[in-house]
Amino acid sequence: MQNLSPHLSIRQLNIWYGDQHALQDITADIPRHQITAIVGPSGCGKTTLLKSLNRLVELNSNVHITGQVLLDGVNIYSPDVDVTEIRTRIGMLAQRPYPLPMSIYDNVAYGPRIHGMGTGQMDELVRSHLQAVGLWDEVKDRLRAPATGLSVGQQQRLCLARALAVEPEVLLCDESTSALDPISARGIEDLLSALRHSYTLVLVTHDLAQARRLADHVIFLWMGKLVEQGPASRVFENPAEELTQAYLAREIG
Amino acid sequence: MGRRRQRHIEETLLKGLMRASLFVAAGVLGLIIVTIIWKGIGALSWSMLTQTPQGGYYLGREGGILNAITGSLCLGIGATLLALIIGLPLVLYLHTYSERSRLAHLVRLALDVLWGIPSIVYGAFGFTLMLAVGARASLLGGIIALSLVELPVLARTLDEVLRMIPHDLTESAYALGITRLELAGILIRQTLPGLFTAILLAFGRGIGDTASVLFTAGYTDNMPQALSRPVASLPLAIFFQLGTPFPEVQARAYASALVLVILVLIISLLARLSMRMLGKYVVQ
Amino acid sequence: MESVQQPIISQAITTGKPARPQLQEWRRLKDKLAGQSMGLITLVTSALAILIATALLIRAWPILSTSALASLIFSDAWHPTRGEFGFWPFIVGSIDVTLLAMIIAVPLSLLSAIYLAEYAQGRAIFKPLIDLLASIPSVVYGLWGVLFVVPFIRDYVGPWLDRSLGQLTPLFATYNPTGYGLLSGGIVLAIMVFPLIVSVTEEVLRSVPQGMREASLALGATQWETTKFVVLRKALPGIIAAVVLGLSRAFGETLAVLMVVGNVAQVPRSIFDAAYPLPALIANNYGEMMSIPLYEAALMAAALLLLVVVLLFNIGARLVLVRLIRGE
Repeated sequence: MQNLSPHLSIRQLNIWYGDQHALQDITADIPRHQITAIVGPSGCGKTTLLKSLNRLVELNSNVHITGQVLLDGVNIYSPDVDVTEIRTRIGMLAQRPYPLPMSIYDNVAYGPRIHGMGTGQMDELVRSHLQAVGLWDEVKDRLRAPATGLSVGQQQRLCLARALAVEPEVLLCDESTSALDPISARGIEDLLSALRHSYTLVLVTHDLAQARRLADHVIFLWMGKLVEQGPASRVFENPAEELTQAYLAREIG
Repeated sequence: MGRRRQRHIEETLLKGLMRASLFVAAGVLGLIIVTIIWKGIGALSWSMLTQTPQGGYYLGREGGILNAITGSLCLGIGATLLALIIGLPLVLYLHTYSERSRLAHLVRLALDVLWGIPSIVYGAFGFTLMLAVGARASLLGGIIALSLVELPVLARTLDEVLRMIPHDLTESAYALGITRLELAGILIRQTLPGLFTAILLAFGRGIGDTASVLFTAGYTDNMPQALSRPVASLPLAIFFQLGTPFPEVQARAYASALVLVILVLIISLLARLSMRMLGKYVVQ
Repeated sequence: MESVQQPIISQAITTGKPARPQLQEWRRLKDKLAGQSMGLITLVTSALAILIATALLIRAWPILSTSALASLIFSDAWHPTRGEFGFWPFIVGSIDVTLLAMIIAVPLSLLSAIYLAEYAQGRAIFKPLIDLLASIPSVVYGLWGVLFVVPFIRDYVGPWLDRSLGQLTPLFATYNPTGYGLLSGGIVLAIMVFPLIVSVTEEVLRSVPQGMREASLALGATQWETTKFVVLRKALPGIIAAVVLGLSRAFGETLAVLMVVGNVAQVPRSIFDAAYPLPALIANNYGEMMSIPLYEAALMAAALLLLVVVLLFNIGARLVLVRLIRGE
């Protein structure tokens, strides 16, 4: 039976960077096995919201967080939760590809090795994930070569394979195509689109056209506040808020 | 899960080792300062600071280290001045005439390399210069050798300071049509506290250095008299007093070391304050 | 040199009337003269290392031209009055005390640097302390070595190690009970190079892009795992360069080592034996060198050797660091 409960639930989330109130009282749901796009103008808190979902926002030294983020009902900010475990269930693809300073093979194997997964079957694991992102044929003869030798588009696909190798349930994508040329960007988009049947994806993007192409569900942020959320078709065609309408019409932001 | 605990134990262990290393370092620093103060404070007296060594000083009788204190100050001020005369134009040149060129890159590398040359090599070089012109150990010789030690410190610090000035300032200045020489003047005025920091750091390095003045400045029990006469220095005073078999004189060595350390600490503090002021000066 | 840009318009803008050609000429001339003299200063300074090496070579020539290089380096007969100058004990002494200092300093320095760069909780306190350590004059280090380290080795470490490990290997046996020896020199040197290695390593670690750390953490790695597998790996060339810089500094340090290392021209057998590093040799004997033939040339040759070794280390390390930190 299909699980219809939201995969992630955000409840009254507030985030401060020092005195700056970056996210104000966010309450939203991320539906399972769909692509949710977080849209809004620059500086509205999209990336902060995204990074709060895998607790990467805690890396900032003067950050203060109140509220809850529930993964299948369990608050990931609860003190008895192991953050490294959360991050295996919620993976991330960053804006720019950051290949780790090791071979292509080791990049993909990095996550599984750390968690003790796939021992004895690492070769197969690496191959299957490289195939899933369409890199296998291009790199199968140079798996031990440094990952930095790949083109930017290939590197981003490698980072995707790397993120998927720890078998997350959720994948967070922080403007993951903005550093790429249009062809590579499209390649990544197609991959993400195909992933939605097995993973829950949350995309941050400033590219409304991309959001329209990919999103099943939309969250619109403005200056740290959640303005509107809902199914993509409704939000894009029939926005309930004036602000949303203005943003979509490119009048603001 | 056993593996997860193992990972976290490893992290805790390493963090503990890291903190321990820092505490060892801090502990050693504290130990050094405490030892010097404890041993030196007893022998420190007003007469030590205001007199030069009288007859039999090294055997335990009257006198003080005024010759060494003023000698070190003369050496330090002279060397810093000389280093400034060479270093300031050099760094300004890097930032105005040849900013992005390959030459600037090479010059910075050369400065870094000069910074790493041991001061005894500079002393030996100074000595060869002295032999070449037939000079004897003197204040001037010491100043020249010491300025070579101070030059890289001063130039590198000044270079780092000037790098803090944002590029748009330089570009807008050029757009207004000023010459590069005039730009140099503006740069200096913009970063005056940074210049003080560089001078202070170089000076601090200079008064503490021994190996360069060993060959070139000689030693004397008299106050500094002329550029051509030998001059005493605090580090050497400490060294010679320590070398005597008399405990009273050795105690004075500790006291002299205390004087030197206090001097260096004050200079460090001033340099730090100056650097902080720079943050308010530089247009961001 | 690039030509000076002198739009006359700027003068017109600021003064409201067309610029006087004489003023323009004067400014241009000043600029050119200043540029040339500053350029000259820059050129001479950059060539300084070579100038120094040349001067030392000239003064060392009498001994370099008359003795075979191999006999100078590998002979351990040091009798200046008889004209025998074998540098071997001094070279080994330098190497030994430097190596010992690095064995002590490198783990401490790297751990401290990693903590300051990656965990950074007490940075505001520890960074100034380390800078303070760096500014203490070498004679004070030497003094502290004589007051504290030497008695400590003589009264505690020496006897204890002699009884335990010293029975197993001569490396730890105490043939020299005075405390003035390699270990004292190594400890004092280690503290002196610690601030240098820490500050360079810290700078190298900070140059690793934060995105790389975040990528590792996002995969569920702990902070230490990120440091171990990602940051240190990326920074490795820079860390090696930092250690090389420290090694070079230790190799050239004169006064502090001189005061505690014993100054006996022998090839040390144990860490408690006295040694005689090259800088100490030069510093101790400059007074007599003019009175004995070839002695001055020999000491200048020692200084030249020191310079060449230090230059090689420094140039290599700096080239690596510049690419890592400033370049990319």
